[in-house]
Amino acid sequence: MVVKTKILLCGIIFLHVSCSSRQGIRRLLEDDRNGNNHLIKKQYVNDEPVAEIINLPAYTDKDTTFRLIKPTKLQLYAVSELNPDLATVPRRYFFKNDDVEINFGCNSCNKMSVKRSFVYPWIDSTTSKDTSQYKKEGTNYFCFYNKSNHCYYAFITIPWKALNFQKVQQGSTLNFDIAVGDNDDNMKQKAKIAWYSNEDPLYSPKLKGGISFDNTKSTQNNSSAIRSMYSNRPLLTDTAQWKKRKSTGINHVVLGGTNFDRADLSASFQTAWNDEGIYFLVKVADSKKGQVFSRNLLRSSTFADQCQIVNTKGDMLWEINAFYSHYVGGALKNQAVDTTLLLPAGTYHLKYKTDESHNWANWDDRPPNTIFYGVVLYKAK
Amino acid sequence: MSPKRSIYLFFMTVTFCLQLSCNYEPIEVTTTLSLSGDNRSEIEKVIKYFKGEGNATKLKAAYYLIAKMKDQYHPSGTGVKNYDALFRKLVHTKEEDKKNYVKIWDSLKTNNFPRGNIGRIEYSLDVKTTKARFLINHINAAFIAWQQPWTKDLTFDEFCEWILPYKLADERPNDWMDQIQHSHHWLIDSMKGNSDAYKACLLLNEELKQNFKIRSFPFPFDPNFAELDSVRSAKCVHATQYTAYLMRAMGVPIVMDFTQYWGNLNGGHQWNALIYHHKPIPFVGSESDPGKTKIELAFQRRRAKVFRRTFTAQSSSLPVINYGDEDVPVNLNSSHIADVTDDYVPVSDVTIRKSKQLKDANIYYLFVFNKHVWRPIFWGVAPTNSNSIVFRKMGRNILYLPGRFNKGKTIPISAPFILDTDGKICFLNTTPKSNTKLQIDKKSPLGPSITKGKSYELFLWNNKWTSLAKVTATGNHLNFDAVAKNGLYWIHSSDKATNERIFTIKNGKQVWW
Repeated sequence: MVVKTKILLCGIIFLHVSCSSRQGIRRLLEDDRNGNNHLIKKQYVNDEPVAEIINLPAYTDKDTTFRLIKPTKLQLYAVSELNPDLATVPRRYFFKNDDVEINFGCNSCNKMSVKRSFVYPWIDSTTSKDTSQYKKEGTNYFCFYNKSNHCYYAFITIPWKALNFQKVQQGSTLNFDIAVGDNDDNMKQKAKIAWYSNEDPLYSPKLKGGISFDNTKSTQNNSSAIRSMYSNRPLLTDTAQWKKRKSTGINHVVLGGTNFDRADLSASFQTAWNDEGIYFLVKVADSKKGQVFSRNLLRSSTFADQCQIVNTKGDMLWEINAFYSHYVGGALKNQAVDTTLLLPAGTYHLKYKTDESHNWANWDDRPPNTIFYGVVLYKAK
Repeated sequence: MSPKRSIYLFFMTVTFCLQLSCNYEPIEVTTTLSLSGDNRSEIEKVIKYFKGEGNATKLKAAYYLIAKMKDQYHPSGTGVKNYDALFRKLVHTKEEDKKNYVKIWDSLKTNNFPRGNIGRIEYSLDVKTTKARFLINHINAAFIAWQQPWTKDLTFDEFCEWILPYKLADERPNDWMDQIQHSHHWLIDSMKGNSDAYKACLLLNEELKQNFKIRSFPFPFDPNFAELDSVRSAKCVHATQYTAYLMRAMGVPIVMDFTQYWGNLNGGHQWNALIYHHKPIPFVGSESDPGKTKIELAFQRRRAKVFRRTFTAQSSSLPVINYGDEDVPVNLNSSHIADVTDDYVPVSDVTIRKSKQLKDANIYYLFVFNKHVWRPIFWGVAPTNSNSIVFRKMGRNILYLPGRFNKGKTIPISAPFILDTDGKICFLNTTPKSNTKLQIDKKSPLGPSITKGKSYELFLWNNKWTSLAKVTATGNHLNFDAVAKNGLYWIHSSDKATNERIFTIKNGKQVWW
């Protein structure tokens, strides 16, 4: 009886040891009978990870060490929480400056049957400088920011040849819309307004508004087309030359909906044309200059839960960043990174730090559709 | 109806019948009635009404509200009457001038009252003025809110705490719940049968974002719903209050939480939280959604203590435990705040040994440094025969100063200490004669760098702030060769002084607290 009991106990212990020998991500992958893993490629499912930190609770800072005896290419999978601020806008607005966007289209023109968009970001090497000037796609852009009234003045010249025209005929009309994007945190555009459309004209396949070219003195616009008045001479950067031109408000909010604040962003534009091209003066009242610098792109706070690889000297070699993450279901802030990196032989620290909320089993919004939350490293195949 | 709910209602009915047969009121209700003075008949009418209706749960809810009314106050007096007259003018401010509400208010006061004094504001007991019709309407409306698909799983106790209260602060009671239910009936259609309180909260907040703006508004006392609704514009704290009115009326369990003083930065914060699966999910009504906001902004701000405004007086609150009638700090002197720190951050109990010379006090405090002053953040009680004081549930990774509070002054009882991320306590026992080197780059972690040509003063904490040196910067750093080891420092200059923070030294560099 005693012997039987011992055998039974040994059996239970053996079963327990064999069942619990695989833990962490391997265990989760084994248990994933419903096929919920869409992130880790099949070729890694049975591999022992080089390092992993997964499913931490809130306010946890974990550091695990791994050693590579030769230069090794690693496959990295990480799931984390994008800063909610960034997650409130679609990804296409990430890393975009304050800008002016001018869109043209021509349904009946052979040379311009598709939409043509000119995007003029505020580009400045420092935050303190208040002018910006460049040529782009055959067009000219000059802009200055007046600190006293928090206003941009952008002068834009678009020669007809930049639109593949020799010139336009008086009385003709092009499809047209103009928009102004607003970046306040040096990371993303958080608001955008357009003249005609209620959708972002930059991403709409067709433009609904228009611009007509006239040399009469009438300044009346019809409801769907703005009238550009003829000018004998080029209208460049002299504000005095623009004084007599009609100003039109850019009022339709196409990004930033419910949080939009007109005190933060408002704009108007004036336009003129001649045989050389079309001219715009865009006035943008914007409480804060915003542009993306490389230091913003790579700053760690793009993610609320931070993940890094650091060498023994403390140099950060890799960090999770919104620049190359993708959405993994649930709340928009649930993002994953699937990437490879080559590391020389040496000892490394894999780190993962969770903040106050939205962690494994402690979600404050819809959870990601992944079987883990954290970071896993494999030897790449 | 869920079986749990059926059983509950059965027992409620039995209790109700027993109560009818005995015809007595709960002792807490009797206490409130004894305070009601000439208004007693109005309160009794409420009880009579719900007894007559034969709904045991509603009667119990009425008892709950009446019992808790015994320490509910609202502003009254000449000051309130005069404020109302000026408020009616303020309400008509043009949209473009609303950013100047405070200036307009100052000018209205000066033009209408000698020396701008609007008169005395007193506080009266609600139970002495509240009419039966108001309470009956409110209770009936609260029960309608409880029937919403996203609300009906709340227990009676949860309902009492998060939906039923007729007020949210020390405001003047006014009808709000049935009014909101009429104006926001669209929510029921928009939910399309969905029973998720989270979704209801998002939908209501979308509307709030359109209709309420956070900006300064001159409320000399807590505003009520009617006042907030007529301006739809006020500070953060009032935005959270307006949000709570709106959402509770529609059956969404919302609370108002706050941290009075950040543990490592200046200022504090108020926010709402949706109670979802028994956990608070923070947001700022009219500004951000639950799940889309971070109170601590990715480790930038730390919370030493989080409180929740409650309708029920808290038995562990400072006014309740202050049986010695000691002088207590105004910011903590409310019985309607509950300590919910551990709902949000990792916490530790802190035990401090009581020094021998301090025998006379029962209540001690932990202070955090905020806007140049040590601010009391929480209290601890020293039992009569005990040598130690325990401060419960303190937020970690924060520097605290233990002390007493007397006539508005902080009296330290020991050196400051750091409660680290693991909950360990490390006292800053300063070693004055030391060759510790210090390089100062900034006045605060987020603040301005040291500027060449500007004058700075370095202070060391030694039971009080002691000036160590006055220097003029010759570059973008200030260097000191021999400062005290393990000291707590503060570098001060007259420019942008409000951002300044205190620091310790590690490897010659500043570590911010």
